[in-house]
Amino acid sequence: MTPKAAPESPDGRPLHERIAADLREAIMSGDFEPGGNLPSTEQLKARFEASGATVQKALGLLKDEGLAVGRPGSSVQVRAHRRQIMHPAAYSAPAAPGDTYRWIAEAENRGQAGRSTLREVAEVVPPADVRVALGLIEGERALLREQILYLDDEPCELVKSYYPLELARGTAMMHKKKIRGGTPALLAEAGYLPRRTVDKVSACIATQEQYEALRLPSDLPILRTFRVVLSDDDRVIEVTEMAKAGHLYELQYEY
Amino acid sequence: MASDEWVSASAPYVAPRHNGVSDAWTEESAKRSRKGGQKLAFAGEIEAPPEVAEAFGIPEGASVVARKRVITLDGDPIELTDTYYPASLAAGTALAVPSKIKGGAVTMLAQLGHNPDRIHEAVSARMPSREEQDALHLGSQDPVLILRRVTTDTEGAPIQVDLMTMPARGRHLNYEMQVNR
Repeated sequence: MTPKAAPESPDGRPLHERIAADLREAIMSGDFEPGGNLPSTEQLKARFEASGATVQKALGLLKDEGLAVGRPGSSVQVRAHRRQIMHPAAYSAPAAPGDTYRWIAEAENRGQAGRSTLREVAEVVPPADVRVALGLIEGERALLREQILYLDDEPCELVKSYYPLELARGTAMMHKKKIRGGTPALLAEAGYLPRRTVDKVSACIATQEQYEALRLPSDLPILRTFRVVLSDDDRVIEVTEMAKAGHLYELQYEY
Repeated sequence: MASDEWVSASAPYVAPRHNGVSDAWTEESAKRSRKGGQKLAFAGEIEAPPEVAEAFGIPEGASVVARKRVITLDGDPIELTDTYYPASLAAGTALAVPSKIKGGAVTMLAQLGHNPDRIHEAVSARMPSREEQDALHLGSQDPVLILRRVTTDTEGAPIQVDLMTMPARGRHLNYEMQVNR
């Protein structure tokens, strides 16, 4: 099933990383079932023509990534929960007055503890794609509210939301303080209801900031959602960039 | 969520086509003056991989019909698409034969009485396996986007599972939703 990683492989990565990559794929695809055992060190040594130390290093990577569990000397198992499922539709609408954030409510529905920390609130010159989506000219500022979302105390998502300053000025959004029900609730109160959401989903290798914020164990891809929220008359009220660790999360869309 | 509907740029690929019309990919790329193509790498019955079995609600390892294709743009491989059909529906049909299906498989399914109704897509990302690196001409540091699509028919039965692997570089999946609340 998995090809051998020959030592003289054109793939420039160290052998333990290549072994981890192949095992990771087999875990993700379900070939190795959650809760089941990974092949033994002896089997892996034979399959990959690798030393015991190299196999242990590969398994160590998978453990660091939360994909495998096990102590030295005993068999290594595939962790029971392989990928968290996210339904982006659940986050766009404002919470009802007094409700918690939509995504935290979603997490609780799944039996998980969700929380968020507000990392930064500042007037910034946004990146080019955000600027274009907001219809700003070069050098023009927008309000950035940056959060990290946690599930069961593990950072799962870095969220950067940008708002047009003419909507944000004079509101609680400008302050580095959480807003009850989230900013969508505040915008809705001001008469800016979300009417349409456009998501662009892509993947890339984590930036240094994402790597640190999400405490990534190794060079892993980020699942990036670029979301534009429009209100009446196609007025853009929010542009959000969401970055999730790609190996732990899956986005679901139904239509 | 019931009243909020996503639409996707995938929509042209999941609708049945009229007789004699080329497949959706060839047509979509021609619109952009590029040459879309596909190579059929495999068609036939195989044991269901776990996530496919799960989607169809059949035991793992039960037989399914698979069609594995390499999608190309201007001759370059840009996507690996493995499509699975329940054996109860597709065994013994043209879907299980390694040759091109006129108008595409979706049209064939419609002729068998199964019209796609709802689509459920799941998107994830990871680093490519060595096989994928070779097939898609990727470096080891180029992540891939994985799109898993389950199509259910008007009866609510899952009729098709697609597992698509594409280089993430320069690639976006688009989803749009009207918020009705």
